[in-house]
Amino acid sequence: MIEWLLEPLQFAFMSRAMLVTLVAAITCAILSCWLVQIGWSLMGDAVSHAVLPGVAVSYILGWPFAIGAFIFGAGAVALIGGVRATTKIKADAAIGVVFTSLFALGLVIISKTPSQTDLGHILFGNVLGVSDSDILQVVVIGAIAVALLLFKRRDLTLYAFDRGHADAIGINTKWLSVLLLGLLALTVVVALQAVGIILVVAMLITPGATAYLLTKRFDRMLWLAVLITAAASIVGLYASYYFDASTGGCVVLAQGAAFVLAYLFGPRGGVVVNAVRARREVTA
Amino acid sequence: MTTGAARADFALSVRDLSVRYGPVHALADVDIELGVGRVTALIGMNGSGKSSLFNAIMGRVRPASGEIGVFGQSSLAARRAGLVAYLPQQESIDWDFPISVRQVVMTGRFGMLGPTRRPRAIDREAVVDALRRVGLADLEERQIGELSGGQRKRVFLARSIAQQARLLLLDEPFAGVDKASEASIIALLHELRDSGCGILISTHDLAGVPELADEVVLLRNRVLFHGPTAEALDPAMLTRVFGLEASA
Repeated sequence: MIEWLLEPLQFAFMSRAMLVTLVAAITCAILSCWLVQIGWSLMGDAVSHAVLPGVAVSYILGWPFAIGAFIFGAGAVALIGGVRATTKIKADAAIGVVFTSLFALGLVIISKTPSQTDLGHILFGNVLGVSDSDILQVVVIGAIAVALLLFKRRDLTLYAFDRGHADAIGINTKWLSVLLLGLLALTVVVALQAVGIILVVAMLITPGATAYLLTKRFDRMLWLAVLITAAASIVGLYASYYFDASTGGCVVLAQGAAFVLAYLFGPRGGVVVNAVRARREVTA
Repeated sequence: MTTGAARADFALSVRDLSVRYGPVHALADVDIELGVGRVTALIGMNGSGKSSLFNAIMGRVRPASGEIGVFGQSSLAARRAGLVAYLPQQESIDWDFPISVRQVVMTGRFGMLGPTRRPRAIDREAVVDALRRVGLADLEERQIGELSGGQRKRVFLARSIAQQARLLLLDEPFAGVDKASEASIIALLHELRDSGCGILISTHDLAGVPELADEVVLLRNRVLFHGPTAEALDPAMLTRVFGLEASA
């Protein structure tokens, strides 16, 4: 058993993949708790797709991938906000128009660029082949995002719960929303290295949604989301090694499995638990 | 900074306030002065500008013109000083949010805390005291959705007490609240009034107003009447101001 666990880690590419996946997954999990409570899951989807042209441009110009990705991620947020503020288009439509257009722009740029850029790696992740500079970017940006989220966690929770009160006591709620969306863009930049653009949104939603099924306290939700996502990342990486399957796919699938377990057996909303409880009440 | 219009002996003084959403005039030339130690009911139909007035006081909309003073300060300075409490409408809160009664009341202390809002011992005591005062001390660990309609309102009242707010803005506080709870909430509001708070309550429920309020503002995008409750609720007045609605 021990040998079975240690074998993959003897390969440098596997231990590097483990590091990148854990940093990305934990950063996403913490952020996801606020996203699912505010109802911004779609924003996670939008930002993650919208960074594609940024990543492509970074590769072409030889920049660190994080710079281009962040510019386009933040730009997408600004565009969505701009469309909503100046038209009567509903939020989901504004989000949909902006992120699909930017994603398409990324596809066009990549298709017209005679470079080594591998679209598949950007879309689906290439965690087994991350470079040293990629790892450095992921760790530094992930640490910054986590530190800021935890530093402002009580304000962010108030913002998610009752923005009216935050306004009433003079807290700058616009700044909080900018902070959260900026951190969303940063987090997407981190996570796309691990699982690719398409699956980032899963990492940004599933851990928070799973933890929400398990507790009635936001602070516990943060811990649970981190623990669940770390466990799912490790299980996913081993599964991908032994089944020789897509790494990003295995990690996200493991998170999905954790959600199913919480859905079935969770104390708060678990359907099995509720069914048992209902039966006991009938017989009592 | 003290604005020219704002006097410290008024809990709220609104001068020439206009709020527009594009071509829609939500509020036009509104002047309201609320005394300290008074409960004022804000009565108007949907779309009469009640929410716009609250939003302007809380800095959520930028007025097209006018000034808002709270206890002699600008509204932003007063909000930063913790003088303003807002009690949200029932439907604007996510009652499934993973937060306890105690944690909600603690958010009333946030303005007094440092950047991470880590509570001190004195804040915990203030929260316990506030919960005791509204009769929810036993329920402090409950998730907020596990309370009755009246208890939910009292959580937010406890928050404004913990905050030591002096201008209370209540948005339809009696929706979804049974009569017994309504009476206990009104008793609490009158206690707060007598301790020197100014209280502004938007409500649809005309029948409850005489029991609740010392004075009434009738609003239809401008102030149509501001004066004693009995005068405001005179059928002739209501018919003149609201037309058909008053006969309903």
